[in-house]
Amino acid sequence: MVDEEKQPKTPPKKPVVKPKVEAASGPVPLTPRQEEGLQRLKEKFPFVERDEKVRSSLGIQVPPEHVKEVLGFLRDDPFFRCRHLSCLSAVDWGEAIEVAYHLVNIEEKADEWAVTVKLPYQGDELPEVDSITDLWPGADWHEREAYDLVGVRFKGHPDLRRILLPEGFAGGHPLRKSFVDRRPPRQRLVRIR
Amino acid sequence: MEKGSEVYTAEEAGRLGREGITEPIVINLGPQHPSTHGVLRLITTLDGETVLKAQPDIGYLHRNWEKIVEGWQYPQIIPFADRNDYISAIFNEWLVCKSVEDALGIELDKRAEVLRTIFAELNRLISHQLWFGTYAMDIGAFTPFVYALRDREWGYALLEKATGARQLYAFFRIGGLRNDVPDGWIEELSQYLDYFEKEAYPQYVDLLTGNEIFIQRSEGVGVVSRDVALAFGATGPVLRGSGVPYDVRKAHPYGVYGEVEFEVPVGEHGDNLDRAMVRMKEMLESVKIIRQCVELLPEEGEVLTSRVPRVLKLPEGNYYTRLESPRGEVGLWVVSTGGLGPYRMKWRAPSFVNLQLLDHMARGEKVADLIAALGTIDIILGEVDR
Repeated sequence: MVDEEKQPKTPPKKPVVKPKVEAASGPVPLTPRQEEGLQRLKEKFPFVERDEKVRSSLGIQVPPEHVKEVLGFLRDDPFFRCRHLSCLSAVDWGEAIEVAYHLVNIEEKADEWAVTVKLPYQGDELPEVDSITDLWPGADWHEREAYDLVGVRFKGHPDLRRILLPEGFAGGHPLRKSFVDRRPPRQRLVRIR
Repeated sequence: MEKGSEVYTAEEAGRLGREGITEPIVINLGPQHPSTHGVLRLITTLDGETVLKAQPDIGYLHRNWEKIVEGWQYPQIIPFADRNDYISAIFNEWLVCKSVEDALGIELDKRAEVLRTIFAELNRLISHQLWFGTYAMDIGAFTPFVYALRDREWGYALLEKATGARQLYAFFRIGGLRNDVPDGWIEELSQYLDYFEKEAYPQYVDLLTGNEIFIQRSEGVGVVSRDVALAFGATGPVLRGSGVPYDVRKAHPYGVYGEVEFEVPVGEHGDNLDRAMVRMKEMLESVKIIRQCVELLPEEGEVLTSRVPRVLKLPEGNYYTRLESPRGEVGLWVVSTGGLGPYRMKWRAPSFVNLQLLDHMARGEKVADLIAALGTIDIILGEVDR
């Protein structure tokens, strides 16, 4: 028996049918400021290219030997003035490791630029890239984390050792796709009814 | 040589020319020590009572969040992201939702956006209250801690009424919120804000920030200049205390922050007092924002938009999303290969970056001021170690 008084008095609302979201494909169009920035970079450094994989801001792909030069330019150039290194991270693609730097101009425009580097490697070797700790001292721990978890060697880093994992961790670099978890399998706790 | 057994000379610590230097001694502070706010180990090199070097050793709470979420589906990640910064969990789930929503171009209904902003600011208020209590305890005052925790419980009760959980909510969904707020919740929220502004906050000022002992204890201690804060990538109250008015809520408005009026408090000298006062003022700004959000809140509207596709797949590419948590800029880097889950996720934790400044703050200060400087960074070890 259903109590009559507890029934809702207002009739249920009709569902509103709205168009579903369609994810955009293809490269993201650039804003005028991003176009200008890309032009400016290309004039100074003919080797830079746009990285179309970066979809949240303008991505710039740089060859590994020029990273420090380009990042220093982005920090000091009056057009960019990216004083803030927001994030430094690395991802393993199997035969190459991609390091991404996210820079923000935080004093005037608050716009964002991403610089990516592809470092090819084979097997268990650690690919190398220049450290940027003398441009941003705050890159110190970011680089140690990337070394610890992904396995990138930063040349010129003052104190490159593991940061999150224990000092003597022998299992390699966990965020490599080739990483094997050597721990014994854990017993599953299942309640039997 | 075992890590931490290095002895730093006075020259290395930059204290040449000072008379009466005794032999430096290395002391471990933590990992189990009440003043380190969790499991943080500080390898300190001391000359008597003066700190020559303070080196944080982290990773005691490491669980490799980034590895675990690889291959999970995006909605699955939300509850686990809560565990990163467990004092202000709303910001973590908002970040995961925001990165997917921004990537797919999902627009929320106004009601959901306003409610999200209210929840976030309420959580910021709670987080800053906890900071207030623990910072007071760090510098030796016990009573403010009890006051702050008393007031914080009402805020937690409010969040619990709406979300069902006290600290780890899993309340945000991609496309909105799990459910609407219950009847009478907004009225109780307004009562809480009135109570906080009229009764609780003046007590905080009387107890601590207006107290001369507190001011003398904090002024000129742990100074971080503007350039140093920028170079170290500091964000949040640590950066604003040094005089840079950078706030993601102003720079890249999300939620309804573009429509409400609020100020970004900044400090002048970058010492402990400035960072503390920035957080105190931010509490009042949060109250101001919630009051305006209550005015903005529409009566009607879906809290969970029906425009979300049933299968969430991000187009191939990289996405970097940021928002302002109580500790600073928290960022999420998602690499997608077009599948149901991320290929790689990187959590940019503000506490992790800000903690690097501790060595700079503490050099040349006394041990007690090292603890105070650590208190003004306001770290959460769940986020530092991830």
